[in-house]
Amino acid sequence: MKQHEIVSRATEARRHGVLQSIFLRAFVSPWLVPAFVLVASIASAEPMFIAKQYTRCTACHYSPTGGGLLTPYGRALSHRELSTTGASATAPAAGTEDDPHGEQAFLFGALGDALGPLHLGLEMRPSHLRIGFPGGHQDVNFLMNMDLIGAVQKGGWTAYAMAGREPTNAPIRNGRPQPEAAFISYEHWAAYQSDGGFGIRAGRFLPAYGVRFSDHTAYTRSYLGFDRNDQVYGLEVSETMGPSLLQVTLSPGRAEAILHDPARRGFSMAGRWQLDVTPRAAIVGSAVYRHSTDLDPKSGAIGGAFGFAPTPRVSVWTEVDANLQTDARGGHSWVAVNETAVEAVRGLWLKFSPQLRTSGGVPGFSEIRRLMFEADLLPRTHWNIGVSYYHDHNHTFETNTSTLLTQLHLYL
Amino acid sequence: MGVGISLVLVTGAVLSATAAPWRVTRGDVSVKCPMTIGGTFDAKTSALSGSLSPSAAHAPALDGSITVDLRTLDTGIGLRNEHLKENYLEVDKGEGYDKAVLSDIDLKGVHADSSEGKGSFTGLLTLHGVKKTVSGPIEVRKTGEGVRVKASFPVHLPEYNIAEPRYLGVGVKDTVQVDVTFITQ
Repeated sequence: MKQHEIVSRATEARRHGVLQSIFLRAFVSPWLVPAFVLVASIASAEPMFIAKQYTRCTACHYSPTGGGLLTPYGRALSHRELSTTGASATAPAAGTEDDPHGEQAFLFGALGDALGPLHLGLEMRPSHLRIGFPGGHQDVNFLMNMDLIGAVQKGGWTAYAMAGREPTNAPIRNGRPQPEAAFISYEHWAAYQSDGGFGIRAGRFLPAYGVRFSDHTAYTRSYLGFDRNDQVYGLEVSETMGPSLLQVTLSPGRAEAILHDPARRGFSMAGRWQLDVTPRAAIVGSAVYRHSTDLDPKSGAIGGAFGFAPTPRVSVWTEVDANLQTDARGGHSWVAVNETAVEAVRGLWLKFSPQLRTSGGVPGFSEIRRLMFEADLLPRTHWNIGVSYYHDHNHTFETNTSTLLTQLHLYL
Repeated sequence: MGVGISLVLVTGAVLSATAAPWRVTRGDVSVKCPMTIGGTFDAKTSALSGSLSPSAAHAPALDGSITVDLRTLDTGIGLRNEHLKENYLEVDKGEGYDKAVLSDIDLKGVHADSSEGKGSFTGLLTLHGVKKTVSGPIEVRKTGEGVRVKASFPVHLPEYNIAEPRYLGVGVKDTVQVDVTFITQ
């Protein structure tokens, strides 16, 4: 039991990154920056596009749970409808999804048609991070990620894989973080989607739960086990029934645990139901159950979310979840995230996101609150800039940190 | 096109009582387009026009028509608008392709001499150079502005020789739903 507690505390600190570092403010200077680098944002799915009448991830992404490689349609949309400079660009002709050119293509089409039906994307995020904490601040430049992603889609079948570099201090091997960068494939899976709405997927992927906010440090992701490295090996079945989408995932455990940390391997299942009330409004209900492992007690969460777009340039998503077992020692806590996004002008999205996680009344677990402001400038499909400011407040210990993250997102 | 249908129904309820030409003062048409990858989007317009009058031939029927300007349909996305109008509705293809017209409207279950009620309607929808019968529910209600009419009906795109809407792996299913709301005085 003592070993359980020790390991669980280490896991808690690792998962909660900056916020736990606030709690451990005595160690803030040496620990805070590397911790935040591990959990910093990798933009992926964008729920704000409900403002453009896109309620499903699969409009623009290969993955049914969003994020990752853009489909040819997603690239075309990014170019023509989102980029500040793409409004007058010539759109690809219908039927040319396997013959992309220019901004729609991998490396601007430098490989010609050599790839055939294989679609590739190279994603990199050189970033700058500045963290202010009681008594000082720290700056760091780093390459957040470098991933090569590929997909082939034919006749309802999709094969998808990504290979990349996990940043230094991020890889976990047998419960211990490794100082070296390491190879990682966050996702690799095969899927079939029928015209009738039935879908099945097997491999490594992030289970469907709640709203997949693009910032994986959002409380509803990082505190509920849907962070950057929380993909599972599993089977997902889905069914689209009119305006409803049901997704159920069964898994023998987190992929990283199966590969590198077997003591944390344990069965899990997740379910997500989405109802598109209108083209600009949707409600989502989710639940997840994780069986106990050698080191973790069983846990689960249940929650609901509502998103709507009052105008074609504004989206508002709110998700509230009950975390039925805090990772380390039990108890119930609440997690709530609101994200309001406004397209100020074409290609410039401004976001505001208040977030909360209650302590659950468990000693050692703090109530934490966050205000996040973000500006996303999207000049072109292949590159954009994101500036995020986080103000994190530990209500239990009355401490604050501020974090400024600047990212150049290269999507080649 | 949905607007046209709705308009006809409303007109019938009102005109029977007055036997005078009836005009749409304002209205909205929303075409709900279910996508092949899940989800839907709306194509909307407020460009409705037309007038109706009771038919001398058979009481419930309305003479006249309601017209929707298809060039004004807006889906909220420029590229989608472009494809909708140029590739599928083909508004520049020839005379009449830029409009949807509802005519020969008949009402069932809605009293012609009442400004309130629920029932159904049938009418002829001319779209993309093809004329087909459409039908659906209708609701008529008196408001401070006049008489509000709500109607809806499905449109099966292949029946109108509209090409299968598909673009880079994403498309619209064969049947779209038209919702029309308009005010008459």
